[in-house]
Amino acid sequence: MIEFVDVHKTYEGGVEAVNGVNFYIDKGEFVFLTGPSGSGKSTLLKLMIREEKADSGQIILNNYKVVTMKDKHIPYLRRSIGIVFQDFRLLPDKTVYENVAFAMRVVRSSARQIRRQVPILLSLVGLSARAHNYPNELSGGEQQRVAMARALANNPLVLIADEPTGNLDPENAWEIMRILNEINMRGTTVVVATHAEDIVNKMQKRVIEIDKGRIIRDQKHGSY
Amino acid sequence: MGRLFYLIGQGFENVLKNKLMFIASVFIITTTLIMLGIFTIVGENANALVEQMKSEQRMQVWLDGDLASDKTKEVGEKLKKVQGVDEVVFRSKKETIDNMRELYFDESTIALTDGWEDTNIYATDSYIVTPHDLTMGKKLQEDIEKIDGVNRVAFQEETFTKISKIADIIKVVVLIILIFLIGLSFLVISNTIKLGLHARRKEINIMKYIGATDNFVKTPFVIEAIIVGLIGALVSWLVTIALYDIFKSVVMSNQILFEPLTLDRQILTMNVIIGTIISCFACLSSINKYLKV
Ligand SMILES: Nc1ncnc2c1ncn2[C@@H]1O[C@H](COP(=O)(O)OP(=O)(O)OP(=O)(O)O)[C@@H](O)[C@H]1O
Ligand SMILES: [Mg+2]
Repeated sequence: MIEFVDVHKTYEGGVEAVNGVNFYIDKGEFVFLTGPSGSGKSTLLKLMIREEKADSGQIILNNYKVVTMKDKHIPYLRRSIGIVFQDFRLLPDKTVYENVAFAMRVVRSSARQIRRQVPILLSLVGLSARAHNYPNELSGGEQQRVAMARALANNPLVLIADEPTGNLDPENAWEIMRILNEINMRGTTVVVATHAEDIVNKMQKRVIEIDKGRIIRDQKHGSY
Repeated sequence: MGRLFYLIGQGFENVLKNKLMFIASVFIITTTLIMLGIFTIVGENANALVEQMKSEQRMQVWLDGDLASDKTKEVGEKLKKVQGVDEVVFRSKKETIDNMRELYFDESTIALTDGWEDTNIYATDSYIVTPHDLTMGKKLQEDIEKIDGVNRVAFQEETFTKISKIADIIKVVVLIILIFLIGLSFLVISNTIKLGLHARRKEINIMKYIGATDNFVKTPFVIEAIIVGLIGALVSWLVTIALYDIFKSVVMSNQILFEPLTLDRQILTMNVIIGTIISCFACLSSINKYLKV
């Protein structure tokens, strides 16, 4: 499902952000990426969606050869991945409903599909009542749930989240994790880069710990 | 289909989000197309004038009245030998008069020409001489008038040459302005698109994470450019036609011969094509430059 083989990435400034990384994540797994700030967690996620291109090595994701694929195929890779960021990245002048519908429209969904799917997604993240509010009328936790509904809009095989709870208080953070877990239960592979120690400890999922661009631990039911 | 409507809607939304720059874009493309229209009209008219000038440059060599036919032939042979003569065609008195009737008289006035064939006042037999070179008309006229049996050489002065020179100057000036304006249009439109891209950069960024193709991202901006091109084409067409009508009425009242031209539809077609092309090129160059897709 997601495979990294001897992946290297050096940024233009000369920072070796990823330095020979190997791992395999099976379909349906739930994986935490942990490690100190600057260890290369975000870079790993960016390599998966080809926001950054690896200098060497192989990345296979949903059967795409991510490193060597042509630029024009990148949109199709990304359609098979849902992405959630720390800062939500919602469109402020669109309602909750439109923010989710927008994601479906981008990938050519029909108006009927959109009308059917968006309410289902909003109820999954518990926001049916807020469909016609704007992002600035929502709490941080609610905004992140909208972002998750949007990430799920196109039924991705993989959901990746970069510090999804980084801007949230513990209560909202747990709500996000509960939803991520539920999504995972339905069969979606979930990869979460995080600093949230207590969450990682409690959930006892697979943990891949990074330091200075290398994997220093890969544990089946790990703690932080 | 719904998707296309959505993208067109997005194009109009771009326009509304960025009204001032949109108006500036339409204004500059309109000005450019008006210049293009003027250039075309002046060009077409100049061509018509040159054609007219060429026929006017032919000389009509009037022969002495009632010249004997062998003498007439002799003059014809002599004319062919004059230096600088390209072509010599005989035109009988009757042909000339018939021609005049056709040109200047209608049914109600034709009676006035009764009996013209019987005198030499209105016409005589003549030769139509085409000079090899339009500039040597004056000397040729003098040479031909020396031939025995030639009464007079009718030859238009060089006003048309002057008009065509003025038209050439106008064409060059307008062309220079036109090139400048096309450059300016390019600049203004690509900046409009650049501002639109900037205003939508968050949205575009998210679209790309979600998996939007380049074309999906670009289409609303191209549609905005097409709207600019089309409105510019329509407005400039109306202005050009109005200017042309004013110009025509001024020229007509001065009694100068002027080819009536029906350029309306051509100018509209040209404006639509050129306006849209300039606008879309400016848009795409801007997108490819500022949108790292
Ligand atoms: N675009 C970039 N250009 C140059 N260097 C970069 C770039 N992005 C990240 N880096 C560097 O690469 C290293 C890894 O960064 P990365 O963002 O992957 O770390 P991280 O593990 O996500 O950190 P954090 O936990 O703080 O988010 C850091 O040293 C960072 O400064
Ligand atoms: Mg990071």
